[in-house]
Amino acid sequence: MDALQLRRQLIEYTAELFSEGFLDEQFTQLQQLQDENNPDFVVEVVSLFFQDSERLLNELAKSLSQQEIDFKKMDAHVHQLKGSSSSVGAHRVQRSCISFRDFCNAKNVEGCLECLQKMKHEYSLVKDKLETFFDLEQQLSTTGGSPPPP
Amino acid sequence: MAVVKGNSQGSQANGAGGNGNGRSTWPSRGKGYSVPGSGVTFPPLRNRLKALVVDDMSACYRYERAILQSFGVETDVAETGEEAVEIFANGAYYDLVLIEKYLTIYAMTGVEATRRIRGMGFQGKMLAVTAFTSQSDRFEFFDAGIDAYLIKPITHEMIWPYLLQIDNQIA
Repeated sequence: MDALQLRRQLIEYTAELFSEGFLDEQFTQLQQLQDENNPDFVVEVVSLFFQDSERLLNELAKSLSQQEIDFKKMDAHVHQLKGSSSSVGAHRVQRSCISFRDFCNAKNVEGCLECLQKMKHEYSLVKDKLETFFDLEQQLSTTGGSPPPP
Repeated sequence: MAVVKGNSQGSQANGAGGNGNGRSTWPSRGKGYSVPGSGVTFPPLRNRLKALVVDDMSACYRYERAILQSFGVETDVAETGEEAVEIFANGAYYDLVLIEKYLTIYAMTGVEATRRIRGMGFQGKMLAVTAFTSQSDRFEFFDAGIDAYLIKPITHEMIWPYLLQIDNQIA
C-alpha cells in the first residue's frame, strides 16, 4: 500500500475510533502536544495508560475475590483508572469506571463484578484499536508519508 | 529520600536561589503556546515558573507535565504524598502544585499532603486535579487549603488562568 492509501486509511480509522466512542477529544490534545521535542509523546502516554490499567484491573479483580470486600480500596482504584483513562481520551473505559463507582458506592457486589467484566472488555477493545492505530502510523512513517494533522 | 521526576534535563527539586526562597528570578524563558489547528495562542509568561505535580498514575503525571512544559513551566513530579511533603520539608520552592486525591492506596492522601504542605507555610497556588468530584471531596480539599478543584483531564484553557495569575503576581 502506498503512502497516500495508508494516510487515507489512517484518517478513516481515526474517524471511526472517535465516532464509535472509543476515543474522545482528549486524544487529540495528546496528539497536539507531540512535537519534534517529544516525537513519541502519544505512544509514551498511551503505553503508560496500558500499564496503569492492567495493574488496576487486576487489583479490582483481586479485591472482588476477597471474603471481606474493601470497597474503599476499590473506590480508590477505580478513581485512579478513571484518571488514567481520561488522560488519554479512552472514553468508553472512562464511562465504565463511572458505572463501577456507582455500584461500589452502593456496595453492590454483583453490579461491581458485572461492571468489571465490562471494563476489562472495553479496555481490551481500546487497547487493540490503539495498537492498530500506532501500527498504521508506523507503516505510514516507513513509507515516508506525513501523518495527518490531529 | 524523596524521588522527584524532573524535567528531562534532570532539574532538581530545590530551587536555584535568587530571591532567598529558592525561586529563580531569571528573565522569562517561557514560550507562548499555540494550540495546533485552533488559532488559539497563549502569550509567553513573563517569569520562569516552577510546578510540582503530585500523582501516582504515570499516564496522568506524564500528560500534566507536558501541558505545563508547553507553557515553559519547569515541572517536577512526586508520586506519593510523603514525597511531596518531604520535598517541601527540604526547602524546595514551587509556584504551583497540582495534586491528586488518591495517591498510593492507604498511604498519605493528596488531602493530607495539602494540609501538611500548607502547614509548613507554603502560600503558592495549589490545585486539586482529580478524576471524580463530590461535595465531600471538594469540602475536604478546600478545608485542607487547596485554591481550586479541577477535574481530569486538565487542558491548556483550564490551567492558563492560574498561570497568568501567578505570573502577574510576581514583580
